[in-house]
Amino acid sequence: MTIVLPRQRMALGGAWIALVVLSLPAWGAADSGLTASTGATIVGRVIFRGAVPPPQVVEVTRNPETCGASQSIQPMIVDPASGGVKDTVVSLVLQDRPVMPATDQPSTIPTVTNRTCAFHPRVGMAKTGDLLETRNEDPVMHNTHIYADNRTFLNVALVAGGKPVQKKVRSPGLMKLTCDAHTFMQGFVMVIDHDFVAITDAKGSFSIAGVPPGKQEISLWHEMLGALTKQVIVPSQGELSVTFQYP
Amino acid sequence: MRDYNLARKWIGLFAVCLGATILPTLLSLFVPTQAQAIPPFARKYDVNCTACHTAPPILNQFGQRFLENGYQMPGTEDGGIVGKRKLGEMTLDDVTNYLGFRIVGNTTSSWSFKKQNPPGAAAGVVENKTEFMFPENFVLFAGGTVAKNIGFMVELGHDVQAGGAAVERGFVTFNNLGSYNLAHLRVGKFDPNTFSSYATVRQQLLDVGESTSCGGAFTPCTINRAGLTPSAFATKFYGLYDRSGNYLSPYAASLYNSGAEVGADIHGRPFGDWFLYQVGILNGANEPLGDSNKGKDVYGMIRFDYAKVQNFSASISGFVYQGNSNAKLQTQEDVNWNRYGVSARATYKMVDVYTAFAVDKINKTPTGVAGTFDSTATGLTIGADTYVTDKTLVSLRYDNLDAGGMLDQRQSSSFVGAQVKHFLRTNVAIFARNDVNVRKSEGGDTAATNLRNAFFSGIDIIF
Amino acid sequence: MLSVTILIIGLAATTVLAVKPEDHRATREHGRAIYERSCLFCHGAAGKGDGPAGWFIGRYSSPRPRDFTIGEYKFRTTASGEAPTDQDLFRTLTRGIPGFMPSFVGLSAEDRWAVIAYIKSFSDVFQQEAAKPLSIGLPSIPSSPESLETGGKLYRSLECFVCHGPSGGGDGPLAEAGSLRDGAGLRIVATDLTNRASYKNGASPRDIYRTLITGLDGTPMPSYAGQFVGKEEQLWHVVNYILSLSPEVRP
Repeated sequence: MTIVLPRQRMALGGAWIALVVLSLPAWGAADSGLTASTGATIVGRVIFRGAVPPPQVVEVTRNPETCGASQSIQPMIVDPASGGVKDTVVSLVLQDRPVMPATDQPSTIPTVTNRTCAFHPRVGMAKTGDLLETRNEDPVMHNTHIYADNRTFLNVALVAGGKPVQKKVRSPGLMKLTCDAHTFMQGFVMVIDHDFVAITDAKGSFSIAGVPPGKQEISLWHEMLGALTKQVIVPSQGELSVTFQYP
Repeated sequence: MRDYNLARKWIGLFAVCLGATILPTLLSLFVPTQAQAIPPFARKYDVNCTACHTAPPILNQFGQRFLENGYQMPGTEDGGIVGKRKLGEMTLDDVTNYLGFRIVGNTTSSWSFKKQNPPGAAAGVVENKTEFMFPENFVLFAGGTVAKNIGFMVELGHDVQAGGAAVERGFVTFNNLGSYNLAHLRVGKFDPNTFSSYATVRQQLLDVGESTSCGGAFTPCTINRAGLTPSAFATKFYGLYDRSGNYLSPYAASLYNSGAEVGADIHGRPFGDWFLYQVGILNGANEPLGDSNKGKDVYGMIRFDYAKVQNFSASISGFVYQGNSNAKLQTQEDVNWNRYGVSARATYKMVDVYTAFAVDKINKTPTGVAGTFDSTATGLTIGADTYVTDKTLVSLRYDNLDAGGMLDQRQSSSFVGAQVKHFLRTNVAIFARNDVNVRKSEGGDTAATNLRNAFFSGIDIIF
Repeated sequence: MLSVTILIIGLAATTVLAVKPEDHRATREHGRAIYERSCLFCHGAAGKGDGPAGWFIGRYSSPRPRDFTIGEYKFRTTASGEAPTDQDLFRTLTRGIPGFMPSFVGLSAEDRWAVIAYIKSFSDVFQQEAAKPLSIGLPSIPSSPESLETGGKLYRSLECFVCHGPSGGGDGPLAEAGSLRDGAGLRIVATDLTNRASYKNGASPRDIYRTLITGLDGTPMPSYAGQFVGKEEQLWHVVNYILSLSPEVRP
């Protein structure tokens, strides 16, 4: 055992105090300029134990040679083993908006594809400032019509073999996709204005990294189960494991 | 010897030619298409009828303000500049932007009576029967603006039943005198009531006149078959005559609610859209222009409006009409016949509900007829229209007439009418209507109780 | 001749713009006074398109008077999903919309600009960066049998007939099936291209070109701009073909 002399103890204590004091600003800066590369990670699963309705049979009104005679849509995909719900958008509800670096270069180009007369992905995500791209891989024309609230965000004709159309997303919220030529088509894009968002996989699992510590509000959205808000307490680092259950 | 075969050939040829021209035209009316031929204001402003009308001729709140503004766009003093062409210094519209034409009326009437030919009725009139006729009314009208804040309206009508053509209406308007919507002056032969909440001429259920047998001047007519008209607007009195001795029809619209009277009036909304006033003076009900008479009739009306949001509007109006020797009794003495009324209307999306109640009073009744003359009469009318589809309109109307006048002549009546009108195009409609006598259970052979049921079908075409 | 036309159009435009008042509170108040006398019976006192006279225009179907609070407009020179320019709003107010909205040319130009300033205040979509109008230019391809043939081929490959019908009569399979809906979910008809007078966005070659590249927001009519990037002049063939579907209308 190392014998620490009284004077050395005082110096070490002072150094500790100095270290703590000097690191205080770092703690206070927890809510600004934060990105997903620091902070804690919320790892979780969204589950639903209730009755899953049978798939909807949607009548195909045009182009059955491409779209099929009818389509079977099951928007509520629940993993029988875990009860996990796919395609739930999980996002943080931020009280203070983080300061995003201003840039004209979008970080990602989320894409929605018309394929076999359906939108792929059916539920997508985008961040404000992204260029949302819509494209058509079918041999028939699609009129992709995207609504944000009840206002047209984009209404474009996409010919077979034509070019994709890109448009910058400006405001957060839920966007609804439809096709004016194939009105049975339906899709969604949830637009969030920060990085703390994820969409659940087939097992209902999601992971959001870099979450600021403390009391945080989590917002869930599923096409059929609707919106839900949950409160969590996030540690300063490490993993927070949660299970959110839709009633 | 006459060649009957030749005559038949000519008739046949004529019929074929007539059919070949008229029939396709008639048939084309039954092909639903987007409106092409549209009435004058619609042509001039390039809008459909429903920009100004809920169901023509009933006005919506925009059309109401257009009318009040002397056929200028509400909120403007534009002199109807849209659609005008310049000719040197003057602006002239295309004739078709001013001229309109309406054919409206029943083509089938089917009467059902409790008693056939009751005592006092003219033979052959009171029988259950179905009649076919040409639509009763055609009207040629022209209206619009000649210059900024100067408007006009002329209407020539021909009523098949009444016989003969007449200048139904003709007036000039001077608008926005003083400042915008402060005062608008109207001079000529016009409907006094057209700015109230429920205007006489704007009915979906058309007036059906009564059937009468009449004697000479200042002798009462016998009413064989009751008329079907809005009771609130009707004359209501039995035993009144005009200055020439013609028996006044108890069912015909009169006084403030008259179809067309000669005079002048002023209206405006000086405090904002929510309040309308109207004051006017008429030559006198039931008097032709130029006839010397003892006095003029005067009237005043106020109206409160709510017409802002949520597809809802409502209004309520009240008027006072003071007659001045405006009718005579059988004794040829003058009476003053006054009317006090309220009307109200509410419209929400596709439903339009309106009502009017009027109290008519004869004052200065000569003592000669005291005890044999009821000097008060009332009429209540409640109506509603609704579009059940984009092209089909259902209308209802309840009328209750509490008649006054000579006690041995008067007959109160109550009827309920229902009509379905289908628009083949926006300006071509066909309708079917049924009226039922609510007073069926009352006994007696009076015209008001004898008529049980009336069924009509007809057309309404506006060019 | 062309340069004279351009000069005249330019002069007219600058004259009209010369009377355009500054967009500040006094202008909007003046606009509000006019709006409440002329516009609110259809558009509603709160600009939501729910004025008492407005329902009857379409009844159970489209169109209804515009709901200004949504900030979505059909007749623009800007790209799909963008707000209109002030000039777009002025054009609509001055022309009216055939069949549905009367022309308010009876209001002075200054009054019309004031009303527009007030109408813009109903939606915050105008507070974002103003959208740039798309370039339209002048018709670069005159009508000719070859142009009509190319236009006809494009009319079919772009599937215009699906709504507008093979001869443009508004009777395409989607229209006949009654499945066309506007942004509010109301039934809407495809324009009858054989009746030029009924084109709500105008029937001049430039108007038709504009409709093709901007689309009519809030209706099933999409923008075709994305398909003609780098070959915009091809759209003039389509314009020529569309004009060939209807007889000439005397002005």
